[in-house]
Formats: sequence, structure tokens, C-alpha cells
Amino acid sequence: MKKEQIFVNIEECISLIKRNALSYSDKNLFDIEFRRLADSIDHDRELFEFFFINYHTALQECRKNNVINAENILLRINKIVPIDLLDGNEKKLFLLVSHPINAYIQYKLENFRASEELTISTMILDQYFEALNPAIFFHKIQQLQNISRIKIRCNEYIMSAKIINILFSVLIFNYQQSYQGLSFGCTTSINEFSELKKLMVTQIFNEWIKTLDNIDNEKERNQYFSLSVVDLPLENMDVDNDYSYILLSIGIIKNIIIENDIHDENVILSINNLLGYSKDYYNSTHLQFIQKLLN
Amino acid sequence: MNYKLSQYIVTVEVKENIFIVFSTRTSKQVLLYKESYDKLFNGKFKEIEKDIFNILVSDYILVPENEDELASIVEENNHSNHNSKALYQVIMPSANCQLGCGYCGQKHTKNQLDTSYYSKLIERINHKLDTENYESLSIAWFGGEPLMSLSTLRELSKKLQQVSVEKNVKYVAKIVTNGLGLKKNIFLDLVNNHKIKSFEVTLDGIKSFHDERRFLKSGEKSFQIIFDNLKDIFMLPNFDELNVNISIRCNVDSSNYEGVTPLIKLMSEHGFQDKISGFYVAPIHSWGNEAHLQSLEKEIFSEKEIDWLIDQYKYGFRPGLLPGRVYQVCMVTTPSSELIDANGDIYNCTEVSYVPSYGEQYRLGNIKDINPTVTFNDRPFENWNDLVLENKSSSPCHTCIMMPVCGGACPKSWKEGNIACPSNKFNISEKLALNYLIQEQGIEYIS
Repeated sequence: MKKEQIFVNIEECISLIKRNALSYSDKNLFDIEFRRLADSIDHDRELFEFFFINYHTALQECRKNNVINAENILLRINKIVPIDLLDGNEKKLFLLVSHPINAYIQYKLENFRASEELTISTMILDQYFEALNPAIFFHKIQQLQNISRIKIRCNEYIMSAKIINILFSVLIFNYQQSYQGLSFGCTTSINEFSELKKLMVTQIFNEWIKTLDNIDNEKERNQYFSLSVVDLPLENMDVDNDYSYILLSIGIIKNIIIENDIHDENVILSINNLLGYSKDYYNSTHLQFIQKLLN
Repeated sequence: MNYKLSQYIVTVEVKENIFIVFSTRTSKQVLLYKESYDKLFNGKFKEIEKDIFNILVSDYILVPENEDELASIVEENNHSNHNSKALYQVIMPSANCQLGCGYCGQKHTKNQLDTSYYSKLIERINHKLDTENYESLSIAWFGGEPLMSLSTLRELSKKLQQVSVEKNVKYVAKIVTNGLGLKKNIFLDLVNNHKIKSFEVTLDGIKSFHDERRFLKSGEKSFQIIFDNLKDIFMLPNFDELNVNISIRCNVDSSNYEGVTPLIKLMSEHGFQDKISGFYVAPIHSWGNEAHLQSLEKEIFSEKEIDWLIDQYKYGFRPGLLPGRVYQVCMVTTPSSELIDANGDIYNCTEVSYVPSYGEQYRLGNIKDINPTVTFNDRPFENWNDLVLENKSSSPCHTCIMMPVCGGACPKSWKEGNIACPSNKFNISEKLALNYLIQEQGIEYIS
């Protein structure tokens, strides 16, 4: 099969993805589970509602780069809701709302150490609350991904790649991993949230590939990619069909980058096989990345 | 938690049984049907549907019962003023101006900012950039007429750009100019070499009105020169790619208000609606003189402003209608913001330099005399927000519901006994209704 055919197959894949693309919003899924968690804890509901609504308004302002507006909202909330006077699970619940948003604000202000500390504090709370609602595990996963983003902003790409490796191995292969004393592993109850899991894997993959694509130094890029998949048994395709696509894609990239093999029939066949697997939530970033590598 | 209805709201019935509730604290508006509206205004908050309730809370229409709203507003303003990421510096390279506008309070001279002051100014800016974690250096070229000392502008601009590179901050520049000297080659030089991306030019109505008051000191007319300069600039083949904002301001009083609509029409005939970033009308105010005595009554101005906004839509312009939240009323409340005029005098207000009636009243110092690292204490009006909170501002701002979207407008004006309320105070309801009509029915409906 000629190289042209490879590109034809890639283009076909890209078209399929665009036609079938499921856009996702993780907001609603998390909100539902967060509400369930909140309902299981004894707390001042009206006060919490006020706190929750306004913290999320601050988050929206921050996402629009209106950091001063976000800070103003938080100044107000913190005056009206005296968190320090709360205790026990109620206080933890409020902090579970405030810590990640404060972490994001610090991230926007480029105070990366403060952002990292707040994110780790969030994960500690997530770990605590997983016992009450297993879905909170995904919030912890999201925080770990945030740490990888912080590491990139601090030019600590190797650490970021290692975190991506943790995320992939935990989510796709149900490995038990740990980070900073916090444990990550998918229990049976967590695996029941298959859609949420699929969403997270896809989102992490899409973003990581985009990050790699922006690295000019090929040697460094290849090193980071290798580290990010070092624990993944890519030849083991005995996984849910949901993850076959990503493993195949990673395998193709690995063959090109590490094996430097773009003519092997297996690679060509693999690209052809991509067409047959579930591609929900993926965008075409990785395919365009593969095209670039082949060029 | 118990809630109360915010005092900082404006409500308009835009259609039968349909209401807009606008929060000046957030500049957000909510559309309510009568049922929800009645519950809101009858205090039956808990009966409001949850999703609507949450929006009312997040938009600050419903606020905690025990919240001191004005204190919150002032705290937000102070936080924004003291944590600004932009170091703002106004520079007046020239004390001169070709025009002899009747309402101008400045006394013009041929002075230009002396070259011997440059290094001290740069040193001062460097020092300020070192003291806080600024993201940008924002320069405003003002006057007099800044283009009357183009050499000063050019030389200082290069030094300032160099400072921004050394300090790793973004460089942003704008200019307020009468437009007489804004030939297209000058414009291109300012944009390409001096990073000026925002221009404000004044036209006080069409020619017959503008030339009655904005004439050269030699007696010659200025309108056509300025208008032709703008036309030439807009016709530059790469104008759109330059990504420059040019806004046109029209100063209005009782003698020229009838020239506004014809000006809008004229600009439209020359395609300005596709080129300018905005057109706005400003009432003439006191500039240390009695110019304000010729102004329209505020209520009349505000009524006419609605007509002018509709005219703008009719002629293809797209003006913004609703005010945004104002955290910084002007440069006076930001401790780091300063103005240096062509004499080297330093102020924290753009309205006082070269104005004889103010004497030394507002002068902070002169660049040649001060240590560049000095911090001026007792800057006029720096505590404006606190004065409003304490009801010591000589203004009605303490209880005014428009305070969050106005900030008090002009502290100096209040001190001088002049009412500084902007038009929104008088026509916000009409603006809300107009905005609703445009959203719901389209622009054609009001055209």
C-alpha cells in the first residue's frame, strides 16, 4: 500500500470524526455527581447554594480572562460565607468547591506553585469524598490533569509526561498508581461511569497530543511521548472497544516516532483499522499529528 | 440564608407582562415573565423557579439580606484600583494646540516636554514597573495636541517601547488628537513604529457646526481637513489588517446638538460605519471655566442621546447600548497612574493641566524636582470610593443605583459643585428597552 493510500485513510478518518463528533461538556456530569455528594452531607443548603453559584460565576469570569472580576466575586463570597467558622464535612464540602477554582485563578495569575498546592489540596479532599460518591474519583483525575498542565507551564515536561502515563494506565488499564501519596485506581463502582471515563480519556489524549505537536524539538517531543505511554501494554488489545481506538492511535504514533517505521505493513494496516473503531468524543488532532509525522 | 432584592437594579416592562431586570452591580440583565417578576418584587423569593433563582443570585439581583451592597461595591472598586495589571501613564508632549475651541479650559503655549526630562520619566516608569507585577505598560498621548510635538512623541515612544521589552511587559498605546495633523503617513508611522492602536478624534457635528467652535487659532476652518484625513486613512488598502481602533467623539452643547444626526449621516455616506470602532456624544462640561453653562440640560441630552443611538443604527453603526461595570472611575483612583504635561508637571487627572483657574491646586510635583522613585501621598481624589462610601463625596453617589456602572463619573466635577451624572442615569430604562427591541425584533424594527 503506497504512502498516498495512508493519507487517504487518514483523511477518511478525519472526515468520519468530524461527521460523528460528539461534543462534550464535562460540567453537567460533574455537577450532577457533585450535587449527589452534597446531598449526602449535612450542611447549610442555602449557604452552600449561594457559595456554589458565585464560585462558579467567578470561574466563568476567569475563563474569560477577567481575573480581577473573578477576584472581586471571591472577595465578596469570602466576606459573606465565613468558611473558617464551618467544620467537619461541611467545611470540606465548601473547600471542595473553592480550592479548585482558587487554583485556577492562581494558574491564570501565573502563581503556579500556589496553583499546584491548591490542586493537591483538592485531590486530598477528593480522595476523602470518594468513599461517599465514587464518581468524585473523576474530579481527582481532573485535578491530576491540571497538575500536568501546571508542570507544562513550568517547563517541567518530563513530570507532565509521567502524569499523563499515570492517567492513561489508570483509566484505560485499571492500574493502581499513586501521586504525591494519593492513590489512583478504578474500582468496580468507578468503572460503572463508563461514559464519564471515556470522556476523560479522550479529553486527556486530545490535549496531550496537541501539547506534543507544539513542541519544536523533535528529540524532546519523542522523549515526552515515550514517557507518557511507558507503562501501557500497547500490544494488549483486550480492552473495551471504547479504548481500542486510542491504543491503536498511540501505537501508530509510537511506531513512527520510536521505531521510525512508516513503511511497515502493520502501521499501514493499523491506520486502516482506525476506521473501524469507536471514535466518540475524539477530535482530529492526533490524525493531523500523524500526518505531520509521516511528512 | 435569607435574601433581599438588590437596590442596584433597574426594571423595565418591555412588553405586556415581560420585564427586564438589569443589575448595575454586574451589568447583567434578566428577562422575567410577570409571574416570576411579581414573586421577585413581592419578596416571595423561595417560590421562584430554581434555575431562575440561581441566575438572580449569580447576577446580584438577589443578594444576601445582610450584605452592605455599597461597601461591597467600594471594596471591589478599591481592589481593582490597587491590583491593576496595567501601569497607565498619560504623556502630554506639547502644551500647544492649533485650535481655539471656545469650551476648552486650557491655556496653550509653545512648550514641549523638555528632552532633559526624558531620562527621569523613564527612570520613574522603570521604578514603577519594578515595584509591582505589571503585565502591561499603557501609554496615552494627550494634550494640548500631541501631534504638535511629534518629535517628542517619537523619541519617547521608542524609549518606552524599549522599557517594555526590558521589563517583559506588553506595550499598549493610544492617542487623543484633534485629527488635524493625522495625515495618513503620520497615522501609519504612529501605528507601525509607535504601536498606537487606539485613536480618538473629535468632530463636533457637521462642518457648519464644527467650524463654528473648533476652528484654528488663525481663524481657518478645521472640519474638512480632519474629515478628509479620516477618509484617507480608512481608504488605506491594508487598513483592516492594521487592527486599529478609531473612535469619533462629538462634544455637544446647545449650539451644536442639531449637527449630530447630519454628522452620523455624513459618516455613513462615507462608509465610516465599517471603519470606526465607535462614535459617541459627550456633553460639554466645565473645564475650569463656564463652558458647561451652554450645555443641554442633562435630561434633554439624555433624551436626544436615545435619538442619536437610533440614528446610528439607522445609518449602519452598531453602538453599544448598555453600560458596563466601572471599577475605575478614572485615573485618579489608581495610585500608580500619572500624567506628565509638557512642562514636566505631574498630575493624576487629565482635566487640570494648563488650566489657569486651577493654579497649583492639583499639581503633584515636577519631574525635574522629584526623586523618580517617590510615591505621592495625598493624591487628589485617590480615596474617592471611600468618600462615596462615607457619604462625604459631595455627590449623590452614596445612594445612587447607577454608581456601579458610573463610578461617580468625575470626582473633580462634584467637588466644584457641578453635576457629573452621565446620561445613563436618566435614560437607562430607554436603553434597556431599545436593546430588547433590537434583540427581539431586529435592527430594521427601529430603523
